[in-house]
Amino acid sequence: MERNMFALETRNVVKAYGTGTSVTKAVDGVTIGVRSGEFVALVGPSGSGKTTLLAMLAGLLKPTDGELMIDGQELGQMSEAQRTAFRRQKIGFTFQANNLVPYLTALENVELMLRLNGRLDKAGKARARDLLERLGLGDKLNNLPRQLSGGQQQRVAIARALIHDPAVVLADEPTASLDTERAFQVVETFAAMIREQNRAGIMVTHDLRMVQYVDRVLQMRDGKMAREITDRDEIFAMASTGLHDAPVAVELPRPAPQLVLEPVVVR
Amino acid sequence: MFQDTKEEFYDLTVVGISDGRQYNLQPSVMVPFRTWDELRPQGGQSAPNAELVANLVAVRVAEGSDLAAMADRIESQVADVEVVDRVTAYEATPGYSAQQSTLDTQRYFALLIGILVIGGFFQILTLQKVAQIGMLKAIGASNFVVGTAAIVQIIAVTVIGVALGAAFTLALSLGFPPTVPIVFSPAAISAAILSLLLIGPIGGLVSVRYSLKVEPLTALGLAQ
Repeated sequence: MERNMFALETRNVVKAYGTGTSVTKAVDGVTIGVRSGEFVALVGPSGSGKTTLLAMLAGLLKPTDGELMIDGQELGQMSEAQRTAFRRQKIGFTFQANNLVPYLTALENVELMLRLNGRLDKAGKARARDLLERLGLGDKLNNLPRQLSGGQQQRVAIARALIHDPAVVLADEPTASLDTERAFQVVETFAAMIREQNRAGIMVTHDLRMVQYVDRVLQMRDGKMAREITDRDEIFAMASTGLHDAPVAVELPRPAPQLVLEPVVVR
Repeated sequence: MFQDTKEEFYDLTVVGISDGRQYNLQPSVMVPFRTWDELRPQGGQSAPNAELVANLVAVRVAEGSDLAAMADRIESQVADVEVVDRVTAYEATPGYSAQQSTLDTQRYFALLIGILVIGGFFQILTLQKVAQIGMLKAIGASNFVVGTAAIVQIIAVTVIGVALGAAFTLALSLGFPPTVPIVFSPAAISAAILSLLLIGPIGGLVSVRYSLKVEPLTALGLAQ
């Protein structure tokens, strides 16, 4: 791998717990690279280390060993305060649940990211409004999270993850609390926004049906990178096997659900 | 009226009713000195020729009098007398300091309990927000931002709570019957409000510390 080709890059990254003979490696020598504009799915059974890897990519956990570069900066050397500032500036995040501040409106939740970065000016406010409108939430700007559906809340979280021009966007099980149709819509929207805004996107998911929207699938097992799938047909074949925990064939919704986005511009 | 073990009755004529005269929270009756000497407990053997006994005599002095000189004169002319100012006099009243210390203890304990209750209240609010605080830290909110937000919210809640409480207490005090021996002086009210404003943030300190300790990993369900 060539340096600086990737927005996000790890080399032999390890996360170990315990000492001496009782060392457990949650992540064991993982090397990956994700380019700007690329959307990657990180899959694997429970305990395979995908969430731990995501936590390291987000600067939430320090690797025990190995290198971890985002936007040309090595995360392993940073202090906790530096990593916090780095997350605020360079990383966009969506979570399974508890994504939004319950007493802030949809618009304020998106603006929060700019406020934390000290960048909430007139232009920033206009961009937040614009982004939410493009995500189909133009009439929900002043709604509180409890007045939004699960899918709408995830879309607000997507807007918040993108508003501050991060290098990398990370999504932890973005569809965990959604019904099937909303889940497809959210991931499709997410994929489109990541490509359009030229971010490096990584989604951790246990729902293999969602991989149909990504460019590449990274499959983990026992802390190691077990398999990398780039072939479209193979990705679709994986998507049709359905949920990780129930590997039975499911019918993918055809045609794909209606997009709430405007046509995607691929740069 | 009881004298020894024998019950005796006297007829007294009420000539007027005054406000604000109490002895150790009990309503008091004002009677002429000689009537009192006749009524007062005589201690077993009645001594008809005994001298008139008073344990406290209030002296009203004319404006601008030299108090020290007057005290010297009284002490030189009257046997077994001590001249003191008004505060020393009522503080020396039997039972006064004992009762006052009980009330003071209650007041200070009420403030201490207030710190615990308000602190517990803020702690519960913080515990309910752990997921939210974890999420905020994960997206890059610094401990400074989280801590400041917690302190500002604690102060705001305390100020609003004390204002509501003070208004409610004031309204309640206006409806008190005159027999309730409580006086709301501006000094006492200010002291209470100030101490309540202080104990909110003091009680909230634990929860501020707790919110600073929430790990951002909570957002991924990975907190250790």
